[in-house]
Amino acid sequence: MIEGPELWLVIVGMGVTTIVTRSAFLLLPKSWQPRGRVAIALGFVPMLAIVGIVAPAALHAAGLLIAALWNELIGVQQAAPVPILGMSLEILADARLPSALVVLAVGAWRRNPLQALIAGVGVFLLLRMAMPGVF
Amino acid sequence: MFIPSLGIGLWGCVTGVAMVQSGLSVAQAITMSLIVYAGSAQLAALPLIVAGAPLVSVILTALLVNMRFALASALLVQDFRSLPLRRRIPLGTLTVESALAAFLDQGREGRDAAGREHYLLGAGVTLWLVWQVASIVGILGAGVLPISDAWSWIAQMAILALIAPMLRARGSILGLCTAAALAAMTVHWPVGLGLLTATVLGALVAMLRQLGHRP
Repeated sequence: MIEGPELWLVIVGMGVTTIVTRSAFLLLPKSWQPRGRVAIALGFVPMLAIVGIVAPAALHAAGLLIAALWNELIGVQQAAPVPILGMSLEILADARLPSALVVLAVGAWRRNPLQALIAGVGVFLLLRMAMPGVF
Repeated sequence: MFIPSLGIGLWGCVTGVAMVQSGLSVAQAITMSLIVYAGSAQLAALPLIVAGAPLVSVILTALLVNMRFALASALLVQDFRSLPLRRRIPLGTLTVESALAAFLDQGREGRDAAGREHYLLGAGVTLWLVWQVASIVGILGAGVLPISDAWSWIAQMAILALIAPMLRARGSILGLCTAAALAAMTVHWPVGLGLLTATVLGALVAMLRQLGHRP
């Protein structure tokens, strides 16, 4: 555990990284500013960063199944047999992927984040009530 | 600002609880919340702090996780480059992703340069306050709050809801699939690196897709 003065130093250092990164392009000279293709690509960054933060949780169960199927396909010897059918059921029972998809679909359709969130939370809670004991 | 506030509030509370549960004192946790103000960097740094990693590697990890803000800051240049430095730096620092998303979605329409600055600064200050209050609630209530994985997932859905309307832009769905798949596959990479890779490659794919459809 980092403690005492060292920890305070870490906190200040981390704070500096926040200021520098959030203001980065506002601090760079005019000739460094993005144009054309780079500017178009950068326009997608805030959205995709949020997607990247949420994706590992949303795709958790699906990822496990794909990994198991892949190992089966290329014939990797498993220490113990992987219950693929059981895993499929587990994915159906993980409410996170369906609720994330509902949030995205409703938000894109209605252009309204509040409606998207209400729909997503609704689906999430319903699925959890229908299948207690799993995520 | 309701949805961004809800998302950032839940997220802040979860982060506050996590800081105290990792062994930070109340004073240290509150200072980190006030100074660092970057949930993902804070959550990424905690295990390293607990493990007693070298100071430089903790700070570099925070830098890496925060690099996506640097990319996003390019979107502010067009509107705010001509501001004096003492207004540019606070404006940039307060512009978290959900403030930027709201600004890009509706903050520009029908506003002049000063109006845009006020909109973004207003959004930034509001979300900063919400984050700090929620984070302190989490820090002080770490032992008693019923924070479960379900709340953390609802916070993630709230930030996801913010960006859902942006999926109408050409190329964004392909970019989303790319970034989501890469982020999930690189989750075991050193902290921050996978997220950065997923974001950059997703943006590249989305850009190419958008240009490919132009006449």
